[in-house]
Amino acid sequence: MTFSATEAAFEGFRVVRHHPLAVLFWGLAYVLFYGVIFGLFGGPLTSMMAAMMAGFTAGQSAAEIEGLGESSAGLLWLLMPLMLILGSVTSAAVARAVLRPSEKAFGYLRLGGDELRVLAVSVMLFIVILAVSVVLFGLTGVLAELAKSINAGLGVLVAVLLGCVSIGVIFWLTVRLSLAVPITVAEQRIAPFASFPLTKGKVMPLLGMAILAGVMSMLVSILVTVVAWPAMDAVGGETGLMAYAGRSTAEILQQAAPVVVVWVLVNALQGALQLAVLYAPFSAAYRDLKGLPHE
Amino acid sequence: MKPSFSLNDALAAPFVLLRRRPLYLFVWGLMMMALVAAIYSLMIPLFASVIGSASREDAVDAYMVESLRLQAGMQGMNLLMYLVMLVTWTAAGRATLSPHRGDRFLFLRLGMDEVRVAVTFVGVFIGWYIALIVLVMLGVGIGAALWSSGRATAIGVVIAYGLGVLALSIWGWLRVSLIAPASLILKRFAFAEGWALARGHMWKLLGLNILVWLIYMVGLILMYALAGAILVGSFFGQGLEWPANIDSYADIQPLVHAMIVPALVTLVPFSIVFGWVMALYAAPSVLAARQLLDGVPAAAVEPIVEDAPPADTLQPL
Repeated sequence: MTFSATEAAFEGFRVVRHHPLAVLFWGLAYVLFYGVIFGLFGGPLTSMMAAMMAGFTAGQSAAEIEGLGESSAGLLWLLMPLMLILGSVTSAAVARAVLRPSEKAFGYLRLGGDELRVLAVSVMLFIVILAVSVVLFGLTGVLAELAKSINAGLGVLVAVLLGCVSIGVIFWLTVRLSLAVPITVAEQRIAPFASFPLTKGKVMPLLGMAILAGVMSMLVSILVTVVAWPAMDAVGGETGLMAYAGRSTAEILQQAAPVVVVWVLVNALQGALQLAVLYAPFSAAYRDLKGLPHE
Repeated sequence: MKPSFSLNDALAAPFVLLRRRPLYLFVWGLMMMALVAAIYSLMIPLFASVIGSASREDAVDAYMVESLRLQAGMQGMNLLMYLVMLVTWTAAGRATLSPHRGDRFLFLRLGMDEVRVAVTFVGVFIGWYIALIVLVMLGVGIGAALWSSGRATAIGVVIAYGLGVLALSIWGWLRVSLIAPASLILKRFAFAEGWALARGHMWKLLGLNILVWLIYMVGLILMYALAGAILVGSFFGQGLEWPANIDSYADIQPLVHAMIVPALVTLVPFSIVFGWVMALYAAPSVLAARQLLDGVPAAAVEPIVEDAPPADTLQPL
């Protein structure tokens, strides 16, 4: 079968339609993840959200904003291992749902060799793209500075032109490497660059497919927000949680359990649906480019 | 023979719907009006807090607190409004494509057609917007580079460049304007087909869009004039007077009560015109796309449900 970008872009919806139970499992994985996060960092998180909200309304000094930025970055670093593991488990599950649909136990969720390989590949690709970005933007900066020494305006022009080219190159590279996770799951080997030969001459269709998947994921998120809005509003919304700033996680759970439960459920549902809509098209692209049968 | 579309048919399409399906347009518009009413009703506590405040500072504080409280609700309502606009746009498109047939759901659906149209609109808008940002940044760069060789030169070049970008952005917008209608008709993403359909019809599409905008403005002016006449006529007809001082809601309560019925009467023109505006947004481009896909002026188009053409019906351009 030939690869059709618009057909592949809809693969996420097909996964949701054919494997609704799997989406439920992915939602539960997110519930678990959010539960662990809230259990570990519930207090600091609500305090930080309240401080950010207060900053938006009352205006904050540069030092306060910097402090908030540092504390949120710190929290992000602490969450990173958990996020990486969840990302690997869920993206491998989506790939499995498309490529090996018969292995449907536990909603395609596993914690084994595939997940470890996906984790390794994801980290490798992150490092590669980060390194290329640093080199490209570094080069842009140096050349813009050189041009600036000749003519200040020319420096701006060079920065804009090379900046656009750099962004284009990074997008191109990301698209060329975008089939790495499906390849890793399908071929059960660590092959971060095996995506390169497979995507040769297919950059524009794959980019179009990724844009379509991104837009659909955004629309799904909006739809979930709209549908869940009455429930969120009834329990006071995210701002309701901010009233508990400065209290411990146990205290928050004791006094605001409905808010936490609704918040976790809505975000879990949103996360699971977005996961399917956003990641499944890449596995479908791999399957169709390889000419694999639709099971 | 090169396929074309009839400007007359395209412009007449929303009026045809108004004549044949006034109830449909009324209901589509009523859905939007209900949301507008819900948005305003959400804002009542906001106005009430301002009216009830003792001083100007208190009023500002109360306004800020209420605004923040309402933020999530307003965002939710705005999203719902976009959803209703999407659903009514596709309904108007379907109704245009099935001129001789009614529909018990007034052509309103929430399915893959809506997903495709929403995705094409958002995707096309994002692409167009990113291209525009890049072009504007390039313009800034060119202006900055030329600045040292003389202000007049730099300003002249930037103005010429800006006009070029404006023309290019309009051209780009027109070129992608048939993608969503083609996606609705063909029942699949029709990026390539929509792009190809617009080729060679740019002046006609420009004219169509300008005329649609003019008709929209005239329609809106007439609607506000009619609604204003109803409200003003009722106000003076009932011998009402505006209170000299408004310190609390009680001061305007008699006025509000007296004006409720006239306000409800204005719902009729507002709803029909809002429904017609959605038809105005959708019908001309859908009809143009239909005629271009058929290769002949669409004298007898069939209902969309039955006639979704297979992939190979696109005429070579």
